[in-house]
Amino acid sequence: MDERASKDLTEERGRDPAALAVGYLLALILPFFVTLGIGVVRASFEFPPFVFLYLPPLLFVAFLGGWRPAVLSALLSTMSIGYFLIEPLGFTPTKLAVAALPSLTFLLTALLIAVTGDRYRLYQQRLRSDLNRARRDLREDQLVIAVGDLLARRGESDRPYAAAVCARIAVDTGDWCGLVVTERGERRLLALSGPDPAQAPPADLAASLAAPDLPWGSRLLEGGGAIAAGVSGGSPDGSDGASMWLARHDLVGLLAAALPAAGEPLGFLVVLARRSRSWDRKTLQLVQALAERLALSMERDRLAGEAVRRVRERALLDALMVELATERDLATTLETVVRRCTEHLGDWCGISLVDPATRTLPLTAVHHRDPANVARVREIVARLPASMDDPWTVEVLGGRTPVPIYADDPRIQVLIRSNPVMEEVFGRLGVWAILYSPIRYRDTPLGTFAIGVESHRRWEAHEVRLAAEIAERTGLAIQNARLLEAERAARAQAERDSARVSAVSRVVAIAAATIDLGAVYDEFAEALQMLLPFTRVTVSLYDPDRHWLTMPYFKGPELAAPPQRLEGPKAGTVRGWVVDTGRPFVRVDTLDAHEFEEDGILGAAGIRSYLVVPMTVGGLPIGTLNFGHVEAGFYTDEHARLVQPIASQLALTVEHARLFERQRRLASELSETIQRALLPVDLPDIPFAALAAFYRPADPEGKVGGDWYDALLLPDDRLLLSVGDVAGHGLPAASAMGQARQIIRAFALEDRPPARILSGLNQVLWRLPEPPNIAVWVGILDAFTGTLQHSTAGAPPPLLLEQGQVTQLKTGGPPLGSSPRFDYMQEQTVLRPGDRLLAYTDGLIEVTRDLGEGERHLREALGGTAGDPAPAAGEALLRHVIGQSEPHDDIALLIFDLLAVDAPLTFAVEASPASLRRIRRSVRALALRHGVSAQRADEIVLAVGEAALNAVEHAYRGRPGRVAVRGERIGDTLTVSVRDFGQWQAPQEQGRGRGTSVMRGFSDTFKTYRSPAGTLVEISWRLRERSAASS
Amino acid sequence: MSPRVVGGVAVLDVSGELDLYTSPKLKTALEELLGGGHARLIVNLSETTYMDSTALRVLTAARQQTQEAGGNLGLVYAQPSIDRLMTITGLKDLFSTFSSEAAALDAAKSWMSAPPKT
Repeated sequence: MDERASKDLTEERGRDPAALAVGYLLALILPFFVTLGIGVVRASFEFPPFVFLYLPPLLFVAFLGGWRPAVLSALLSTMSIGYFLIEPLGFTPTKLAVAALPSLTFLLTALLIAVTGDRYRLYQQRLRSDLNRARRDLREDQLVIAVGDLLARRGESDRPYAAAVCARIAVDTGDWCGLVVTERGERRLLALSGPDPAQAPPADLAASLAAPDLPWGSRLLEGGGAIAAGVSGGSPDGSDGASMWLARHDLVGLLAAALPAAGEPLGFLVVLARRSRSWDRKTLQLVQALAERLALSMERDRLAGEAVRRVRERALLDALMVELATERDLATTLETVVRRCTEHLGDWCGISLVDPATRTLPLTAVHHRDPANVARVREIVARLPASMDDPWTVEVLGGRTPVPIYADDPRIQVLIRSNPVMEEVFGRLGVWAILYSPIRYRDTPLGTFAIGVESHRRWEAHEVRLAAEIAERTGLAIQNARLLEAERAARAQAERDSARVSAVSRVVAIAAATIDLGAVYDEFAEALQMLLPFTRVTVSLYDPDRHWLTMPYFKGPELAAPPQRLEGPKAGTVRGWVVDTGRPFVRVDTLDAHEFEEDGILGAAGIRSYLVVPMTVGGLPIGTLNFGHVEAGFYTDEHARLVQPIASQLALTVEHARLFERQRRLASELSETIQRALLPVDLPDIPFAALAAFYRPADPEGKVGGDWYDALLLPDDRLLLSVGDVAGHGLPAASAMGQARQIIRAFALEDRPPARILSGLNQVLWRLPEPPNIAVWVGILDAFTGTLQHSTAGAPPPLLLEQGQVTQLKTGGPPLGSSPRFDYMQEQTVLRPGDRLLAYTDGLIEVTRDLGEGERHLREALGGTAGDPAPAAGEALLRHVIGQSEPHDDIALLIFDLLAVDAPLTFAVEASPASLRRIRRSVRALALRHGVSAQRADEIVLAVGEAALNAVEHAYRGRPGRVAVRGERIGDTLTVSVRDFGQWQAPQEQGRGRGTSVMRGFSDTFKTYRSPAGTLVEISWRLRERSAASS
Repeated sequence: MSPRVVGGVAVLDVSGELDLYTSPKLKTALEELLGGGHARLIVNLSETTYMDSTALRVLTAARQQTQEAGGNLGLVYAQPSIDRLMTITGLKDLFSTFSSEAAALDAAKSWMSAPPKT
């Protein structure tokens, strides 16, 4: 092929070697004769002008033979001329010979030329060829550059440049130029241009070039490379039929080159000559180079297109991933997929998901490029055979890659013919190609995914890959969405659970925080309202002893008929049933039911459905929690399950509260007992004095406190008084209080003065593991003299009411238990008859939360009690101070009145020998108060002493009893009566009668009254008369 | 209540009050003296502030015992109330009473020689 082409190409025009030789010869001989003639004629001339005659042949030779023969002949000519110049006229044989020498030279040259003629000719030819080549190169370069320019200037994936390139080539070469490419397996003529752009290419030529059965074209497209063919020089075997093809299309030659690519050639570029051309290998190379250029450009386009497509696919996949990764439900997810696919891959897209229950693939989501068509597509696709057992579906679901389906597929043709729905899909929908992909998650087929196009085209590999990727992501997304839905369901459940838990924990907190059942029920009702709506909620408690239901709580609208609380025997009630069975009960509609008592009552109140949940503690029903709702069928078993924990909690709380109540009652009883045990039952009965004491706990329930008062008559008839307050409440405080009180008594009995009592008590307390903090006032009072020695440790100093004026005793040291050792100061005050002393704990002045204010208030109140007896004064103080608000703290107060002179002496003592002295002392004091002489007083005492002696000695005979003494001055008569409440035993010993003698002898009047209830001895003295008599 | 013996005579000083509560002590003290062979007893009541019939009973019984032992029991007091008590009860005539201890001791010397009554 190449050799033949080169032969064709080396053919030259108009270079006949024979003619060349004649020309050369003539050119050499003619100068000879011309020179000879000139030499002859020369004799008559001065200057040999013939020299000029050499010039034409010289030029001729130069023109014909190049510069080397020309130089030679010029040299010879110069020698000839030189000769003539030396010897101008002499015509000698030597001269002749010399003159002939140039001719000879010419002759020799001619011969030389004749001999080397071919080479010379070739030389000449090459000379010309070089010139031509240079010109052509220039032209070709210009063409290539122009084509390159065109290719460079074209737009991205823009095909019109092919036409421009062909046109340029055609114009440049003066031939036809065509470009054929293979796209999706088909040949397509991209451009066909002639030298005259206006001239349309012949239609048959265009069709023929793109025809798939073009032999030489097929060879190029299969094998690549280039071909050159001519009508005459073509291959004789004609296997390509190129020559015949050229002849058929009235062409003389063609140069064609495949567009080379990594795989199969992309197409070919062909230059077609209508007339004979002097083409050579270089021309073919040019075509090849142009083809390569184009191929490169197209490959770059393809790659660029591929890259762009990949970027777009990646963007699509990424967008899908992003959209699918967003928390969405399944429907939204699938809608996203089909919408995106429709945008990028096809005219429509549909997803069917496997329904394992029915083994079908119902269409779940579908989208069409034209939204108006969506409904139609959905309607048609929905009618497609969707069984999982459909062979087509089995094939797709079983595979992993998308299956392309084309309308011209024979299997589809069969399907279309046999199935009217398929016919509709491919006919009415105009679908031509479908990509049918399985959607899987790992190994589980989830459904199918179909993309359809309505244009006649095949699916490209990248589209199939993209579809596969989309299918894979869709699988993930479906799984994701299902997980999400499951998670949402779980979360919703968790939220319900959490609401339940929080409701439960709330009521647990309530239950723990309060023991007020009323508040508990309210809180439960509120918590329940959040958990389970109700119109009416009630709590019924069951009394197993009476088989009775109570309803301690109800909330909601009033019932039509009273009573609002459904209480009564459990028989015949739904609550009774629930209590008996321990199971919840749901009434769907009260209008349809008459089984239980409540059905009628609640139904009449418009409560259509109800739910009764047992409240059990340790498996034992203690009652029911009841919900009612105006809507029929409102409650379900799920609700029962939901509120069961609350009901259990409520049951526990109720039980708790009941226990607490019981415990509190017990504690209250205990406190009372302790209080009684700790506070003195009876205050000592002091002559000429009145004592009153009050204790008022802050907790009205009787919780024991740490406050106390105490009064103890010491052996020497002095009175120990103490009022104190142990910090804190409850049994520890009460216990410390008891200890402190007893220690004070013990120290007082040891004759310690108050200050030493406190110092000693402080030391004792300090040695306790946890020293209690005690504020206390201690006083020791001699009622006969009114002398009060006292000391204060942190307690409010007592108030003294004298002559209507209230003063405060001196304050003292810190509370006990605040330092290991403290020497308390002791004060002394003398009370006069009629004075009132008030010792109290700070609870009495803390009522108003302002101590100063409280104290002022107390002073006023105390001032107002002047004239009242001690107990009435104490009550008045409490009433006055506490009457305004509840006390924050315990209150203990002690009132000591030193009675006025004219106040009667009245007291009682235990019937014991030791009491006699006290009686005598009191009576002596009474006598002295009324102004009798010491001696007279002694006598009065002697008389009363005998009376008391009788009472003690004879009335009770060793059994305990009391002796009451009353002494009073009425007018001038002082009367003392001694009374016992026993059986008088007649004196048996000798000398017993002396007592009576003494009584009679030392008195003005002496009377004895005996009765079964006791004996009263009344002795009187006339004061004035007697004192007058004695003085 | 501490007894002392002055010139063979036992003297018992009684201070404070003598009543049902304290008389048993007096009784014990006197019985101890009597048990110790003392038949001459002087009870000094100068510091006694009160005395009731119980004490009188004890003293009367003690006097009886001393006299049975050949001795006597004298009372020393100066208080008008005791004097009046003794008078009212008719015991002033029974007892040998003195206004001072010295007088009592003087008188007691004569009790010494007197033989016990049988």
